[in-house]
Amino acid sequence: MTKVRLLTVPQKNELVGQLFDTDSYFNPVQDINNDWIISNEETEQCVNPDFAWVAALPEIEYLPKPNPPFLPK
Amino acid sequence: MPKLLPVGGFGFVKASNIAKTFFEVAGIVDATQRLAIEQLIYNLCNFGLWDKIIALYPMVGGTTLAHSFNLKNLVKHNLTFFGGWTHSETGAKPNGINAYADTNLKANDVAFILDGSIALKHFSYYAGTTATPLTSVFLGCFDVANEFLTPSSSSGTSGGMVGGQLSPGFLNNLTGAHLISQPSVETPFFAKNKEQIKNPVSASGAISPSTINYFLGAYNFQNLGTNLQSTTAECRFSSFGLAMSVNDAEIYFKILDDFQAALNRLP
Repeated sequence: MTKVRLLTVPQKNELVGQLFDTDSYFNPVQDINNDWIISNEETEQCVNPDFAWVAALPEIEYLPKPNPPFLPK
Repeated sequence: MPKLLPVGGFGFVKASNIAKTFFEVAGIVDATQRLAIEQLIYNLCNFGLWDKIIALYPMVGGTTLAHSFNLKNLVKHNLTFFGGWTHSETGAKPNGINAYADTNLKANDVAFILDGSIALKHFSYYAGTTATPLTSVFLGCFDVANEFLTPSSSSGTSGGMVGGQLSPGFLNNLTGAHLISQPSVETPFFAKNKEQIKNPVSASGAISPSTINYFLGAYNFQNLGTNLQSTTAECRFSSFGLAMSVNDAEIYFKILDDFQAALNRLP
């Protein structure tokens, strides 16, 4: 089972557009329940002291939204 | 067929000069990696493919910074990484959840050769590991048209170019080089590991080039940040550029396999 970290909406808003290391940006996305999450890679690789708190985010099982079928055009 | 060339000679010196700045900015100090890059450039130049490439990501160096550079042009179309990636000496592996890299390249940025209103182009992705799920997307975007490359989309296609999609998807041996190219409006093709080339089931229409950036490791769905369809296939090389012919593709695959072999990372 893939694990991810659960965010509140204010936490999500705080992370959008922010770097977690010198060259990588956070990318909060929504899961099947419309909860906002980030990945364990982001929390483990985060060296930005402003966002050290992501290491303490609760871990949940990742349930992705179903992919829509591709459109022909 | 291309082959790795011995060090020396005018052509190799030229390739070394192109590579020199890349080594400096990307921090590539390993002699094996340097030689592999030089040989890659030499072979692409020697077989007339270098000039067909707009952006080339060799994924050498093992760090986010090293993997971000476009070897073809170090100041344009460099990658910006978002979400969960694992960078190592074998390449850049997206997590299949929220990872993507913005190429900062869109079709209407580039002076592609046009067939009517359609920009003729190619995309490639060298997968070091299998993608999960198969329907994940190696690269692409959806603006007014699908432009993407995937092992097997949910509709059973392997990739799409403006005006057409290709079928069927490949459901086994998903590692290695994947390429989609459209030498003319009527003749887009999908190729994998050179011996498997599929013709399109449909290719028609005239749609303007995409006006949003291509993503690597995922799919840019109308700049919405949703439906990324991020893959888990480790990227060991990728390119965007002008269209390649079937013959070009066969040579390209040999060059890319030689490149991966030189780095001791053939899948």
